[in-house]
Amino acid sequence: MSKVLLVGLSKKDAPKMAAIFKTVDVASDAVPTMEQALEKIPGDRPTVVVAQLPNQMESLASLNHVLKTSASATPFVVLMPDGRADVALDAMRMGAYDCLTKPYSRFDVLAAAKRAALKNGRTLFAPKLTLPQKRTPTVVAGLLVGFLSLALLNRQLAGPPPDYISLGSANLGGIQWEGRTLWMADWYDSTVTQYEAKRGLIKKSRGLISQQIFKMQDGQPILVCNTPETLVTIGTDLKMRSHQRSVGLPTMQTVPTPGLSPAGIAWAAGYLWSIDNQTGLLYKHGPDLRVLESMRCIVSQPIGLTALGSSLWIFGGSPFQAACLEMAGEKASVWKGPFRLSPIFTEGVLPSGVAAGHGRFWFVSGGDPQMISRPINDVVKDLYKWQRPVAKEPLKGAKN
Amino acid sequence: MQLERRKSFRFSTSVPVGLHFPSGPVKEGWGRIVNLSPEGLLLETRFPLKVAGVVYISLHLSNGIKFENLRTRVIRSSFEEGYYVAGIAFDEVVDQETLKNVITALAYEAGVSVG
Repeated sequence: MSKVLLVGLSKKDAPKMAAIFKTVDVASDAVPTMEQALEKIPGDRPTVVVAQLPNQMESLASLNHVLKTSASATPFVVLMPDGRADVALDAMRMGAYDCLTKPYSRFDVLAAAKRAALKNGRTLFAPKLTLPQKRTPTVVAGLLVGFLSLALLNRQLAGPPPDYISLGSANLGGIQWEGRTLWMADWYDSTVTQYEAKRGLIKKSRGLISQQIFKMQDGQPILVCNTPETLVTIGTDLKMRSHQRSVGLPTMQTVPTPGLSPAGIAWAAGYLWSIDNQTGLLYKHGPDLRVLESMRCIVSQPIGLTALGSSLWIFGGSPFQAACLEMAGEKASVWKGPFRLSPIFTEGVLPSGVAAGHGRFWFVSGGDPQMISRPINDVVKDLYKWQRPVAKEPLKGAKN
Repeated sequence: MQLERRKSFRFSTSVPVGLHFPSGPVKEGWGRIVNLSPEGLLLETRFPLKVAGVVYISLHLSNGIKFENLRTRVIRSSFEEGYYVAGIAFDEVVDQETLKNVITALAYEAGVSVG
């Protein structure tokens, strides 16, 4: 069996070198000094000697002499701490087959030892050596691919819910998206239900699952809207209520609605907004829910209001249409539209609630358990064909 | 040692040689001349040798003869389990007299008599 004699290697390098040779089933023996090696070699001839560069270069000549006289087919390879060519050449002139410099890679060590043995007519080991692949780019690329895959997977899992969702009730009022949470008011059951869109790889699997159902004690909610602090509802009793976001959604404040036929509420540009179907007025509410100002909506008989960023979207009219109020600040706002939309529900059924979320507008009606959606882009594409200045109405019945 | 009957003679040897690379990140290296002919020599080294690359070689022979920085060019190169085995030719800038001296010295080192 082939054997390598390790001479003068440090306590750290010797086991490392032995482990390298063990990978090709070559045994190794280690002696700490050159003197011990010179004594050992005649009685136990190794296949190859791997020697640390000695302090005295003459030691290599002694090693070479002993090998020539008692183990003539045994070459030696020298390990050097640095890559000085003049030192390496001196060592080679004293008989070393080759010199290796730190770091002593497995490939270099085995290649030098194998070739040295081969040139002396001996086989240290048979397996062919192959250059190790550079792993750094592979690892980085692997991590990158893994990260991107996870990000894509997560994005896919957190994708939008199906375009049509059955909410199981035909008495639906307002709806409101809040991230993956959908708030839904059911006037018949006097409840506000909190749904959560499930995560899933395919759209179909991302349906809604009910998280909490809040029984409203003091009214039948027809409209619902989340604000940063509270949840606001409007009930069949024409009362606007703000609810604390805690168990049971306790009512904090109640004010009368500004109109007799509230059709939508939404939070945009730091204010709560409501719209009235009968008057066609859009109301801006203060923190205490009281009306700050009102303006005429360019959609006649509005039936739904929702916020998209700092814009308000109003749906309604006959034929069915939409308009957008873009707010660029406290004073500046621009109407865009109205423009016609194809009917959402079957002929004659108008939506009772509208919400924006997941890149779509969502509609529910009082007579259909289906929540139906349309891509916002489809609605918006005609938006810039129309622009109108805002016509503000004098406040009618507004309480300051 | 081995003497071949060719157009020009070629003999095997095993002489350490210092290498200097004028280009590339590694400037110095070492290797071994494994055979020699008037056209050039066969070199083995763990330092990369690219075909058409220029390498300066330095020889310090056991009899004290030195040849420093002889300009050579890599004619062919192959990689065998960690070693580049390259055929290199002396550049035209190496005059015939020097070349003759190198060959004679190396032949003497290898124990071959060349006439």
